[in-house]
Amino acid sequence: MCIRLATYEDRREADYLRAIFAGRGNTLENTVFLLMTPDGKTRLTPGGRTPDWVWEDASAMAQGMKAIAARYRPGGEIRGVPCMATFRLSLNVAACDSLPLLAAVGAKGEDAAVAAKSLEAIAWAEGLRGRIAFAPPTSIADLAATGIRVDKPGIYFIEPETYGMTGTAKGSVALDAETDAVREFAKAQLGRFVVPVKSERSHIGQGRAKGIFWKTAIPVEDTNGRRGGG
Amino acid sequence: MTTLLLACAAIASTQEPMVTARDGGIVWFGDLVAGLNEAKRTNRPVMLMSAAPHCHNISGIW
Repeated sequence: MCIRLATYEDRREADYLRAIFAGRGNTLENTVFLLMTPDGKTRLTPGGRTPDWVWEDASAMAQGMKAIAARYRPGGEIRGVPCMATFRLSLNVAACDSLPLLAAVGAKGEDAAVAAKSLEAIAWAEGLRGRIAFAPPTSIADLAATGIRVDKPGIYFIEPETYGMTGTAKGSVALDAETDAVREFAKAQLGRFVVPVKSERSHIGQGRAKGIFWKTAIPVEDTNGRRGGG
Repeated sequence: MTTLLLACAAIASTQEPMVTARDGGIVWFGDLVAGLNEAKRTNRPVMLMSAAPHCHNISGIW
């Protein structure tokens, strides 16, 4: 099971991460990494900033993870729609991962939950798994707040712009469309999606020049690392 | 992040020799409670990481 949290975006998660690994002065570092038991209470590896703190290289990491996984007998398939807490954060994280975003958009937001089963099927489908990011049930107003205009509810395939502050709705299907129809829609859209290539240096330089700055939910504590953010 | 991706590729390659980039990436739970609930329900160990979705406060890049 892979869980990746966005640092400095949730107080409760930040406290959990800090208890696992903290920097000097008990600061929450930009990155945290470790393996945990299924209940999230016991460490299976030491906590650190990255996998390099635990294993020498990728091969050792693969062997270590396989050995840990072999101790457990999984009970059932993973379910759910893996996503971030908000549409705004989902859009940014999708941009970070250079992935398109699939969002169930309702008039009010909660009415978009009707699409959860379809999105769940797509999230874990062979050939689509890990190639599309998902947003939580979203409202038309949530999209408008990021500059994305849509005129009706639906499941939208969204291309994030390079900074993940806004994006473009490339197409949609009905919220209550059959799962097969949503899957085919997602496959077709994904086939047209051009994976963006980013240069860290120019991305940051141009972002600064344009005045595009991300506002975190809680203050960034790790100001001594190479990166002020990620 | 590079080590992580290489390790996942190494694991995949031992199980499915024909795995390519188009077969998919990592499915991340981005919410701690939802992720831990699923890990506990399915008895799977957790690979947990965090990262800030901005670099020098510029969004769109880890």
